[in-house]
Amino acid sequence: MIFIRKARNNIRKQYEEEERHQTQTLWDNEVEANLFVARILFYTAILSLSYIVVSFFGAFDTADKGRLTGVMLQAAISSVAGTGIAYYFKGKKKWLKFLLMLIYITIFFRAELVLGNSVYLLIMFPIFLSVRYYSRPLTASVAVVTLLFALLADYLCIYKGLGIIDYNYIKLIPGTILEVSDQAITTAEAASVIDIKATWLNFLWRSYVPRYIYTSMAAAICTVVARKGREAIFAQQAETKRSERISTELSLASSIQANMLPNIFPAFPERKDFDIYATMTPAKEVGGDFYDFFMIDEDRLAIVIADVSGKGIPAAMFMVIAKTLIKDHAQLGLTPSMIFTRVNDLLCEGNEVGLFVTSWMAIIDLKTGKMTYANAGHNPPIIKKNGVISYLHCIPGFVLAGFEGYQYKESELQLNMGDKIFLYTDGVTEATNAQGELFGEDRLMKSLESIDPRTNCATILHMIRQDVDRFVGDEEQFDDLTMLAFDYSPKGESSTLERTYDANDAKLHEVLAFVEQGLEEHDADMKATMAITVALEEMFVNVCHYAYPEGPGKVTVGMTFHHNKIYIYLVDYGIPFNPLENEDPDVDAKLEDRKIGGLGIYMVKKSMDECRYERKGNQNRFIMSRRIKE
Amino acid sequence: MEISETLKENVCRLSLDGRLDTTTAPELDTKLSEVIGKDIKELTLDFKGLEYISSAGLRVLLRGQKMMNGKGTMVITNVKDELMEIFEMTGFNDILNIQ
Repeated sequence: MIFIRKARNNIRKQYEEEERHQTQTLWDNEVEANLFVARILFYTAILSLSYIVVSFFGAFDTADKGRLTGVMLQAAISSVAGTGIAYYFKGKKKWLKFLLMLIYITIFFRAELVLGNSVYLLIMFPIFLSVRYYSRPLTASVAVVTLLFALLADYLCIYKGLGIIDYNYIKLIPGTILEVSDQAITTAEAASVIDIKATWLNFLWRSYVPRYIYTSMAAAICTVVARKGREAIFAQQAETKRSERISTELSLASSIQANMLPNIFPAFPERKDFDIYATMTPAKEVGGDFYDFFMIDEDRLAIVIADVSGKGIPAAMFMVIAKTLIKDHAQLGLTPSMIFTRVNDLLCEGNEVGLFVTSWMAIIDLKTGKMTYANAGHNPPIIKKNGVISYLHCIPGFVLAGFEGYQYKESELQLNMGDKIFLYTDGVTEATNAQGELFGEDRLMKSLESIDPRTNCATILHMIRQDVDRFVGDEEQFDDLTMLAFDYSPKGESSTLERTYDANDAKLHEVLAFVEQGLEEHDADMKATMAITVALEEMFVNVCHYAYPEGPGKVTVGMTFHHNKIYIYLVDYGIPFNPLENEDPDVDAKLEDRKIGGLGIYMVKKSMDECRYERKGNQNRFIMSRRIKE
Repeated sequence: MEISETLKENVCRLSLDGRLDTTTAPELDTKLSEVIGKDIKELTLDFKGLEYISSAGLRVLLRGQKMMNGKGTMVITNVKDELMEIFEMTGFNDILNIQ
């Protein structure tokens, strides 16, 4: 029972929520409609005023010029008043729609009165405009009121002589003799010869009633349009809600996916015999690329890179399966070719969607340097062996999930100390600039060649990424961008100097001295030294003050020199914070308006050539670079 | 950083030596509040011996300039080229009186 009541309550809540949303949507629409109608009113005012001006100079030679000018003036005044009131309340009053409609109806009522038949169509205007509110009752009421006003106008015209009558319908008193003259006759003059009652009935049945009928038909159509409009905005609202939900789910999926990849660096702080770093930047919310690395046992490291065909959720789901299967099989102690052969068979089972995965993996015996690797349709990695960069020769293999029963083959290679491997997906080489050129393998090779051999893996990937970004410019990234670098050198041989400090202002001078020494050894000039130390101080102090609101923490500072440039990175384990998202201070503001905040980060951006922020697992990584000599 | 002070009637001169950074800026802040509290008309900050300034230092100077406004003048002299660049970069050269 309780469950049923709960379920019922839930349904009711959902229903109420839905209703609240709809009411809000209708209200938003009403406000917009008020402003729309107010604008049209304003144009009416302009038209009326232009009529008065033009007729003042002699145009429109009508019978009843004075009265018509009066009508126009009244129209202009009431229109401007209506526009003013609507805009004063920004359209946000419930009664505005009635006021605006009434203004419209009376304007055309007056016109109908004076000009009669010839402007009859004008009375349709309020009805047409009311459709914009997407409310059937409103349009119906406006139609009824409009028709009543029209009837009143016609009645007043004939019985009270307030307007112009169409001669065609006039019934004269029997025995009246007509004499044609070019003088206009006003109703007052004509009254003496007209049989008013007969004329009224004649008008009513031959002119008014037919017109009322077609006006009613048009009004009926308008009410249907109004209803359709309402349905359309509800449908649109439901669609928006649905796409909002989907995008929330996509971003959740994206963070699940990001957390599936090993992203805490240094990945193996206790291992001093190699260095590894990897990044994955998805193009859409979720991507099909992945990398992976893990120790199989004490000595053997597995590294994997893969690219699932397709994008979005299907690719991401397939990626999760592929990654799990590969890791599971690797941990059974199989070799790369055996892993691929088995994983391929499993992936082929029930793969009706026809997705496939390209992948390359290696198992490296860190003790002996023997690397066993297999390729499943992936682009071969780049290897730096004995100082020479080349593509690693791989035995070609078919993509995973492509063909059941396929037997993969593997190769072996002896790695020596100092050898490096760079894995990537085609998102890197196929990054495209505004001219439609691809970044390409040559540029990638050149970028890698230019990097100092002692650079650590994180910095290598950072430099390549910078080269790609610079090449691409402002173009949108349309494919996932994934890279992994492995360096088979004992740590400490790298030219990257790294120190870890307490995140505390008191350590500032130690940090500055550490980097200043590096700058001095590389002959940095005065200006560069100043700019770099200023930036470093700001970033360090920033971490000290903001990264650890809960208590003391650590910050790692590292630096690499490369091609006349210094790369400095700061890594902390504090709360996520991207300083680059800070708004720049106004450096042209007057003294009184100058704000205290934001200055430090601004100085960093200004004094360094490039800055980048990355959130990796539980780390904030801030990397900045600048040339050290002119 | 070292600050030496010469005060004659309502004219004050502060000479700064060393680095004006996050750790030393509070010293200057205290000093400035102290001397400006003495109702001085002319305040000169001599940067001849100053090698370095960070945003924390700039903030103190900004506060100093605001405190001196309406009371008298604050002048900064002997600024090294490297420091001048920082003043220019942050637009401080426009709001401070640097000679």
